[in-house]
Amino acid sequence: MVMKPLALAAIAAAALAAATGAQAQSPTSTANFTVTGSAPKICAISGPTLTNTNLVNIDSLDGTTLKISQLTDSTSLSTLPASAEVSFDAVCTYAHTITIQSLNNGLWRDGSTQAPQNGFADAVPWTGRLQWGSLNRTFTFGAQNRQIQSYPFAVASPNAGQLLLDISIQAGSTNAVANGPLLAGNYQDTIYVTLEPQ
Amino acid sequence: MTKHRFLIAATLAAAVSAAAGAASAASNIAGPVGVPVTGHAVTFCTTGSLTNGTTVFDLGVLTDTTTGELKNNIAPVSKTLNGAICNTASTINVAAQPMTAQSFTIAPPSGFSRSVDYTATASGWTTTPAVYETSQTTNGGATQSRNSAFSGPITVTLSGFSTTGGSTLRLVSDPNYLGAIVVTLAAGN
Repeated sequence: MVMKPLALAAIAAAALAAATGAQAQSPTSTANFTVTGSAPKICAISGPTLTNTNLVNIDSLDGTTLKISQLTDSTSLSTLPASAEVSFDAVCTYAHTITIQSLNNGLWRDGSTQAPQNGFADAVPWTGRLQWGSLNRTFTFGAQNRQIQSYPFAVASPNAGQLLLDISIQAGSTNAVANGPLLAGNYQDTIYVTLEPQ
Repeated sequence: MTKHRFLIAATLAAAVSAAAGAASAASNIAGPVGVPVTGHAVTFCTTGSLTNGTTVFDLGVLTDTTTGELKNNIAPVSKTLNGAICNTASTINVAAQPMTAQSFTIAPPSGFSRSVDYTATASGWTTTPAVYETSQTTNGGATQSRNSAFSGPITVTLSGFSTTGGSTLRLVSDPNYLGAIVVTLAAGN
């Protein structure tokens, strides 16, 4: 008779434990949760803006088109110097590669695919400097051949902020002789800035 | 229960008395002998269990893939502990750890963070929910008390997600950001 209520109590406790998942009667009980999520590898870059640094002989940045005011010297018909610094807001959340690519390997005259003739030039080299976090590199698109030219640079850690690209054309630089005259025409190059997670 | 024990005690006393009466035929009368029967209900608490779902708050992708910043609309579905019981006055406590990158363990570069803060709330047990903010060094509202036994569900909610260090920081890429929440019921207050 004494045991019966004890037995009932034990059964009740066992049933309660089974219902609630409790391991044993205890004055303290805990429930543990975890919260998880992921942050994927992301690289993003905004459109370009023109800074006031090294701004020489530049008409405007129209959308994504950087317009040079005057490419040739009216007397020598050779290349006038020009330079600009273009800024991009950018982020990569992982180690990544930044690549600067020139579609023409220099500014080439529209329609020109042949080597310059009769002392005239039809392409203009340009040099660049890339500043991105701790990366500070220079490169040249020499206009020796009209071709795609790329410079990839590895960046070992995430980075966010302003990506600065300096573009510079030296006085008298051509794909023929130095200070040689340029053939009349429209000269252009297309630059691609690519950020890609490794 | 108290009445029931009394009845048992009376029955036992009668039985003992009857046995003593039988013995009295061969010896001097002794008794009646009282046999006290006592019981003790131990204090206990249980947080119960989840009746559906898991104990994992899976937030999925934490960042805006166009900016690398923490999404501003993270709101996971609450989880409910059913069958929580304390048979006496009790306290409920909630504690939490920030979500931290499990692979990217070095100090993040400038402009980045490897941690996400949030607020964990355990409600339903006390009038004032127990609240823990991982961004705070002290959390005075993390422990709440009630003066009576209670049985009822406890709802655990996570909210207020923010990048540790400031909202303009980006999260370093990592496949696993992990945080922990512990809800504790304790007898007494």
